Amino acid sequence: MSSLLDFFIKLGKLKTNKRKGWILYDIKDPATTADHIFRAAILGWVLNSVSDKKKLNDARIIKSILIHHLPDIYIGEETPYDSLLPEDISSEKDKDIIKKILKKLPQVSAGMERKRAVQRQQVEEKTFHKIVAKLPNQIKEEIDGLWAELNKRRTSLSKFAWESAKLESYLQALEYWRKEGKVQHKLWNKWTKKNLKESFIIKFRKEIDKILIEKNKKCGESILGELVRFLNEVGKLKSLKRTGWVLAQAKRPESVAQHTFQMAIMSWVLGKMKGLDTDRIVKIALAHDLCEVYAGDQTPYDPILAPNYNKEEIYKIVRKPARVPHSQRLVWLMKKKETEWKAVVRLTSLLPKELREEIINLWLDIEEGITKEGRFVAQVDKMVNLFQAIEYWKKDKKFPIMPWWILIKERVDDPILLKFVDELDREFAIESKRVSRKIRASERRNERGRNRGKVNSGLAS
Amino acid sequence: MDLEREIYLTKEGLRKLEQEYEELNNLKSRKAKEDAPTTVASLEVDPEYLAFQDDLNLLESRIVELEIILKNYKLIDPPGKGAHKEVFLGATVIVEVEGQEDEFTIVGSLEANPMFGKISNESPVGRALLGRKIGEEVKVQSAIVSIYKIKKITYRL
Repeated sequence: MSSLLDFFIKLGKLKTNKRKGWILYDIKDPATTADHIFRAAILGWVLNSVSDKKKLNDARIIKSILIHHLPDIYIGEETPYDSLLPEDISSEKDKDIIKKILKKLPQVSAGMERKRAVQRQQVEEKTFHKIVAKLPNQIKEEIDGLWAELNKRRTSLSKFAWESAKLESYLQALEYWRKEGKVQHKLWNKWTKKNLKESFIIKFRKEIDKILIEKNKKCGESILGELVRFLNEVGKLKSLKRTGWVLAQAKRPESVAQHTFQMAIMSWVLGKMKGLDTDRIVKIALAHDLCEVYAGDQTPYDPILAPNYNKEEIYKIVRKPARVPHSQRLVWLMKKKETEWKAVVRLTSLLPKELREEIINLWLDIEEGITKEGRFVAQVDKMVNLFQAIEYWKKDKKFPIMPWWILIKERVDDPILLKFVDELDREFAIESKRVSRKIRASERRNERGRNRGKVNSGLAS
Repeated sequence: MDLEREIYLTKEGLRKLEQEYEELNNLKSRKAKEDAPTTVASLEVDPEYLAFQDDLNLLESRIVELEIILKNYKLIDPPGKGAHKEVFLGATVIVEVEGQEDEFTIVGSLEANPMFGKISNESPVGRALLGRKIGEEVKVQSAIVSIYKIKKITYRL
């Protein structure tokens, strides 16, 4: 379990790693790698499901996309401009230079580009194996297999998955261009035309262009047009901060998209160890918070938080679990369920019937606990929250961690997840002791300082 | 289905699963005749029915799962009146924890729904409460220790 914990902590870096390309364009609150992976996985899944060609294995596409940025945990993201950029891209004095560089596609010879790509691939390969080295065999084998296929990009599936991820970046670039005008959309368009070669991906890229560049409303009435709209809406989860963390005043609260990314991988890995159907699990995880596009992220504190409470009053409340009288809680839960149900129906309403029902069914599975996979992912959701709460607490000891520890012991009963909670428990205890030692040492230092002061003032008098 | 774990069901839970089993078998035979109705995503649709409408594999596996449950379950019976001061499966317990009051009904894993106050007998808190009496303080161990004081026990199932 400790190797899993280590892996999950490393994954967390992708949630805070802001995408380099968007930093270069000086985008406000840019998407992180995890935000990108979340929507790319959904894009690959839904696009494959409406494909006019022979359908590929959609869960394998999702899983490939979920792992495709793992090496970035250590080596960060690369952009085609890297060889031309100044060393510190966040430096104010180099902003004009960067702007100038971004005005045209990087002028690098084909030979140089190939050389750089090979070098990057080698470093990625090495880093990837370092990251997954200590994972339990059953999960390591699966992830290794997916990585090998994706890296060679010889199969239809790996090409489709890779290009889906690139297309998500393109979609994001156009959304930023429309919102903030800072992105060179024509260059992005040129780049995608050159690099995306799968016929159905090209077809979808053209649909994206019609809707987001040409603003042709009629085109949006096709199935692919509806997919573009659906993905636009789903993209809102990248900037929707999770309410529980906002209320608890976490520094840099994660987005719903980042949470979903982490949950998808954690459910997959832990579900594999339990012998569950992980193809279904990753889809349930991806679908579980889609309703929040319209329903927002509701928390059990909602029934007890008055709209006029200030930050301090809220902070006082969230230091304890939300214990709401049973009858009041039931009314709130029923209302929440209805709002979320309407939201997921609305979000999927214009998708093709089969896809719409699949997404609604997966969402219902975690809500109603219909299958063992749905029941398992529902519990992983609670555990991921504790995991994230500990991460916030590690960075800021004022973070109200207590409710998460108490609630996990009421809400989780799966033996594998309880083992993992024990591992978290041990790690938390070690960190707590370290903090206590630090506090005691600092108190002793202060005490010695006070005593020295007394002695000195005694001598002086 | 994890057969190493006991499957505990309340009467209400059993009734629901038996009804689901019957409905899914009906759906299966109608699908075999290809006259199953098409679903419409609306608030009126029965979620469970909707979930299995278009996925035959899922339908089959749920039917198998239900068969295993219905063959191996143990019914949660309230204890005799003399034992009503003790927490057994099926008990609704009012507790005080960290200065707050809450109410839990202890059920089997399949019916657990903590948001609705139904906690599993296999969860650390469920396990710790079982066998304890009114007035007792139950310690749930973790890096942060929480103490549950049992204030009231009732049997409503």
